[in-house]
Amino acid sequence: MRVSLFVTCLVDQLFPRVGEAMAATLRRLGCEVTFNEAQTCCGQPAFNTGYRAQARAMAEHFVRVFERERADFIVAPSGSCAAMVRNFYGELFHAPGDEEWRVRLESVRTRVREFSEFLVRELGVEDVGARFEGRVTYHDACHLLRELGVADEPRRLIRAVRGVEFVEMEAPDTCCGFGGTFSVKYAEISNSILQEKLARITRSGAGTVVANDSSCLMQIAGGLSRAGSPVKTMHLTELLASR
Amino acid sequence: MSDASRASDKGRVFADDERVLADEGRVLDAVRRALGRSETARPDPLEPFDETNAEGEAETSREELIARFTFEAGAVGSHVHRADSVGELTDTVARVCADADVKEVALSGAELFAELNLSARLAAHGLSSFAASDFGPGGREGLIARLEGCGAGVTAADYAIAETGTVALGSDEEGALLVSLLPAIHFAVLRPSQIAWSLGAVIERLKAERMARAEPCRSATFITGPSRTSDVELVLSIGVHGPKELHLIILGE
Amino acid sequence: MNHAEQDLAGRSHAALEDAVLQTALKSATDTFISRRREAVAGVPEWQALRARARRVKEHTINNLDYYLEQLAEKVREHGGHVYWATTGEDVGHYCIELARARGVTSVVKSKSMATEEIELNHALEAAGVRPIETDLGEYIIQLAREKPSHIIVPAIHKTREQIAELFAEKLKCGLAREVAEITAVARERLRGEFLSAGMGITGANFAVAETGTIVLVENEGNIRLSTQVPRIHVAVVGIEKVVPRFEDLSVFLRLLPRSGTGQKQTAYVSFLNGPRRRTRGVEADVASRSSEQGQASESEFEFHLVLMDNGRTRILADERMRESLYCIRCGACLNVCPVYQKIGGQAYGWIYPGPIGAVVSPLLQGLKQAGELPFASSLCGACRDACPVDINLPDLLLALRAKVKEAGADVGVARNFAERTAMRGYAAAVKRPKLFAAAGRLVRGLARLVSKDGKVRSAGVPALGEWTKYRDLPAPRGGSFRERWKKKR
Repeated sequence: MRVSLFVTCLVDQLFPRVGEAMAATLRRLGCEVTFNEAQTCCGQPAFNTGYRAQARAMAEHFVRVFERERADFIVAPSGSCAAMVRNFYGELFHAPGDEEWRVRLESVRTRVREFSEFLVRELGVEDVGARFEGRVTYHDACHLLRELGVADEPRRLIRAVRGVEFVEMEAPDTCCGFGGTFSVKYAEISNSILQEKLARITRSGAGTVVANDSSCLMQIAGGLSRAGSPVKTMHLTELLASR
Repeated sequence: MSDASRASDKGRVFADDERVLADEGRVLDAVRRALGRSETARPDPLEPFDETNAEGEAETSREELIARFTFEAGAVGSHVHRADSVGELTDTVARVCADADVKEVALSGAELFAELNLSARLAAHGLSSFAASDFGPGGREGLIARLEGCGAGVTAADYAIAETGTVALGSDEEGALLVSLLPAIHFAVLRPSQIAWSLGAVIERLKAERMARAEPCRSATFITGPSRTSDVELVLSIGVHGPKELHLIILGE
Repeated sequence: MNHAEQDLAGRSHAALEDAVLQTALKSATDTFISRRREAVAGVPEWQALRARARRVKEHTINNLDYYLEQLAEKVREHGGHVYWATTGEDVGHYCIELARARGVTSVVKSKSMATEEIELNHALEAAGVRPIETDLGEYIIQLAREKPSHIIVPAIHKTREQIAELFAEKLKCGLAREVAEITAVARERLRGEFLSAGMGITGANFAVAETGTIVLVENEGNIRLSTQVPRIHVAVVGIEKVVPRFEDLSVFLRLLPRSGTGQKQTAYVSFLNGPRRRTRGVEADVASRSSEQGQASESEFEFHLVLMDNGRTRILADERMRESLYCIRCGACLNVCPVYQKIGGQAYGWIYPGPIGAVVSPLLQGLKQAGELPFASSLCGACRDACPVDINLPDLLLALRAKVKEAGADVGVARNFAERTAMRGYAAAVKRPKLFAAAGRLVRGLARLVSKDGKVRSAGVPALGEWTKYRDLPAPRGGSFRERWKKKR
């Protein structure tokens, strides 16, 4: 099984250990892992802010990079980035003259997976042999949940970690308030939504909150830190690489 | 659009015909242009939809229908009574009215009530009544004033829906709807045979029997419980503008 | 509070600071969400109903000319009048002319988003025709001279104490202590209005083309009274409200109450086919009418269907945005929207709040006026899940964002220029991996420079400032993923 890493710009630049943990787990499960260093960003920030032309340019770069990859799957530690390519790239290449691009896109798009959906649905694995002591809760990242339909898989993976006591928070499927540039354009609203999420996390009694999206984690961690909370955040890849 | 139907548009507000027709033309043109055409085309009809209910309509016994209807109606605050005879029906109405200190009751002009001689029977219980249908001179104003003054109205229902505890009044007679609306207490009398399982079934019947016939009925009303609101702090308050109490009397087997 | 003066951020700030509003919003949306969930759970075929509802709307909207013509013809056959209004002004003009022609001086109104959209009450008042809102929530905000904060419960932002005080002040009644007392006051005061008004103006939830039937759902009974008591009934209906056949109603009447309030069915559903006939045996005695309204020019009842465009054909012309016309105004998207839950309806600045408001307001009012609304969303997608007609709201919001950028209709030129420049720069770097890597290294280095105690400080960068106002940002440590990967080779 050959996997090409789609690390995402955020993980690449700010949270490299998330990507390293993902690679380590994939290798441990017998995958041949490659990283094409020509990758940069899938274009989601531009697309979500309404800059279609820029998003298209970034998407073209993405396709050029990954169509060269011979891997069976292209795996990302982010539901929103995987969804960008799988669900939204099609719209960037829908014009009549884009036939060739659509063909090239298809060869890439169909191989893209988010990490937890890859492990459970493609590799059929739930127990990766990880160990972590503590009470853990899980936050459903919006795009992972609603664009990719992934809800059950991360929970199964978390439950299989030895030593983990899994607790559901209230309404885990509610937004953390990040929303890309929304988090700074409408920072006050973003924060008020975040506070609701933090309250639910606290009430769950968990010592660690896990999610599959570094942007959500950045938002949640930023709020927990500001509040002086002892609750820690952890990306699913990091949890599954814990021994 | 036929000239005949336009011609029937009398009582129009604007003095000139052209103004009204121009406005119609303007909007329709805008709609057609938006849809990318210059003439209205008749579309192929929409494919049918089998609106299956979880519990099949056909398999449900009358007793199950009554039981479900009673449960759902109760859940929205309606009072459901069984009456095996017109005597029991009268007793129920009289009892509720006595408890509410109601002296006069309005009856819709349902044939059922004439057949049952309901007015006389109520009188025997000390309840005076009047029928909306054969109101005297003074006309509509008088009817409304009388309805405002009486404490309860009694109508027959035409259909009922078990899954929501709903009764449907589909009457051509304006008086019946006012009788079910103005007094603070509303009694609706229905037969078990009128209870269908689903909204869909009643919509079908309503259409076939009253809405799509040559002379369609003027209006129909579905009633599910007494009047209510949650506009203040989402706190439920019963009895806003419509009746405060709804009593459903299932008459017979 | 003059909402029109501020922008969305300003109005939101006011909303977030309003402790009473925050409590009310949390309570209301939590309640609606749990009621809706329960109601939906009772319908195993819910997804099939949603899909069908969407299909019916799609078919109708794509053939709107045919169905509107059919509807108008049928209503006329019933003896009703049909007026086609291009603008809100046309609607107001018609209602006022009608009122004048019939000697109507007061009008009872039921809750209608369409009439609020065009500020019909304002026009009527200016013409000396007194409109009385009869839905309790609308009655409250009419007295308070405020805008609605929710489609279904317009006065939800007010406490019972505030409402009791409002009634005591405006209606000169005693101070109510319980919600039931408030309701009783409204019942008593408004009953007189229903009985003396010469005209009732409503909207409509659905208009059936095949049978010419107007359908109205409610809980209070004010719609029934407004349509059954006054001699004249005017229904102001957006052209998108039409459905093809009578049987199509059953899907919508199952979806709407459960989505809007979590009820299996609302207390009343009215099906109206044109004007009412006289009651059997009652003479329409015009001469002896002692009503303040004067004589009707005809001795019959009247029904007027006012079909309103007011920008809907513009939406219709846009194939992508057309699906926003499928909306049945249930309010479900509001309740589940994390943004609405926090800022409430008035902060959206117009009649339609929440996700659907963020879509139709820019389309109806224009991008310059309302173009910032689509950006005030985290695109979480909860609205789409809740929508009974399966409108792809997040997709429409994204499409509108692109439209706003293309039209240059953003709020704040300076901010816009900075953002565009940054985005162009970012796109240029993304296409050049080495430049991307170098730029990343530079930015991380700078971030470390302005960090203190392991946390990044804003250092005058606006976006960073907005972030760090509320959240910490850890200083980047070590190299990027690509740098570390290279080292390990």
